[in-house]
Amino acid sequence: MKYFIPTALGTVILSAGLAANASADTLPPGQIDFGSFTPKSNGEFVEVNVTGTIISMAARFIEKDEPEVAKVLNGLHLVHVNVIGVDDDNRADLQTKAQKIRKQLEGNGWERIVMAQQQDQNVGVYLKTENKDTVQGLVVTVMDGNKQAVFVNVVGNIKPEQLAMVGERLHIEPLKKLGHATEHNAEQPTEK
Amino acid sequence: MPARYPGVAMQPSPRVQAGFIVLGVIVLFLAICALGVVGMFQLSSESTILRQTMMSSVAGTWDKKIAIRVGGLTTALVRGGSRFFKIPPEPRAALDAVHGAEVGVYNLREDPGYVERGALLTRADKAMAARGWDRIVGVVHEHDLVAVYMPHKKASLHNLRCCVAVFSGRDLVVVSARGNLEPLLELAQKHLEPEFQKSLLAWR
Repeated sequence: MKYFIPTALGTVILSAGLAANASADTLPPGQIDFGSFTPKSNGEFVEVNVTGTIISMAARFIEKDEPEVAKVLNGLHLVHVNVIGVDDDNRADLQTKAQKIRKQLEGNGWERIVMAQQQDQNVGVYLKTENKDTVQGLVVTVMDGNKQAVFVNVVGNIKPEQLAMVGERLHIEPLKKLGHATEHNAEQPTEK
Repeated sequence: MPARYPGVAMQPSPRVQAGFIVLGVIVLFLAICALGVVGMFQLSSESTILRQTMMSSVAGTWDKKIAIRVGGLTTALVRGGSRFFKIPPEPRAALDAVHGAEVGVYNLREDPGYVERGALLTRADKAMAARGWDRIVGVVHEHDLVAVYMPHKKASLHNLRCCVAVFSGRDLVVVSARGNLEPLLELAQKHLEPEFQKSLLAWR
C-alpha cells in the first residue's frame, strides 16, 4: 500500500506522456511540423494555416467557373505558410532550422525535387508520394539570406507548378510569389 | 355583499389572474428588450478575451471608441422583416448570410513605445486556444499586427465564425462575425451562369 499510490500515479503520468507523444508523432502523411517560430517585434512575420474545410469552401465558389482549379483545391487538406524576416539576430537559428527540417524530410522518405542555391538564396522543394503516383504533400523551404525565410507545407495532391495558382485562389501572397519562384528554379539547372 | 368566512382564502377572480399574467409578460418582454439593448454594446466572450489579452499586453490607458454587437435575434428579426420588402438579390444574400456581427474600436491615449508584438500574438494565441479557437492567419509587420481566429470545431459553409484583431500604432480593432455563406455562394454561382446573364439581358 505504501508504494501503491506513487506507483499508480507514476503509471498514469507515464501513460499520459506516451499517449501525448504518440498523438504528436502521428501527423498525416504529407504533413510536417516545422515547430514554432517566435515573431520578432518590428520584424516581418506571416503565418497562414488554412485547413481543408476552408479550402473546400473556396473551391465551391469557383467550381462552376473553374472546375479544374476547384478540383485541385478539393484535393488539399492543409496549407501552412511561415514567412519570417531575417536579420543578424536570427539568421543563424533559421538556417539551422532549415537544415534540420531538410534532414528530417530526407530521413522520412521525402523526395527532393529541387535544390537551388544562388548567391544568398537557397531553395529546396520536397515531395512526399505514395506508390510513386499519388502526391501526399509538398514542402518548400527558402532561405533568402538577408531578407526572409519561408517555409511552406501543402498537404494533399499538388504539383509544385500549381503552388502559384493555389496561392492566388486562397489569396496567400507569399505562396503565390513562392510558386512563381519555384517554377523559375525548377527550370534552372540544379546547383549544390 | 357576500359574507367573509374565517379560514377561507379569497380566490382572485379570473380577470385579475389574467391581468397578472399579462403584466408578467410585459415585464418579461421589457426585461428581454433591456438585456438586448445592453447586449448590443458588449462584445461576445471570445472578442472580449482577445481584446483584454491585447490591451493587458500593452502599457497605457485605453479609450473605448465604439463597441457594438448585433446578435442572432436581431439579425433574425431583420431577415424576417426584410421579407416584406422587395430587395435586390445582393443585399438579400448579405442579410441572409450574416447571423451576427460585432466590432470594437479602442485607442491608446499615449504612445505605447516599444511593443513586443510577437509576444502579444503568442499570448493571444494561448488565450484563444483555451477557448477552443485556432489562429489561421497571423501577420506582424513593423507597427502592425493582424490575427484571425476560427473555432477548433469543424467549420462549415452553414456555420462559419471568425474573430479578427488588428493592432496598428495606437489603435486596436476587434471584429467578430458568424454566418451562413450558402446564400452568398448561390449568388456567386448565379452570377457565373451564362443562362442567368442571358435572362438578365432579356429583362432589360
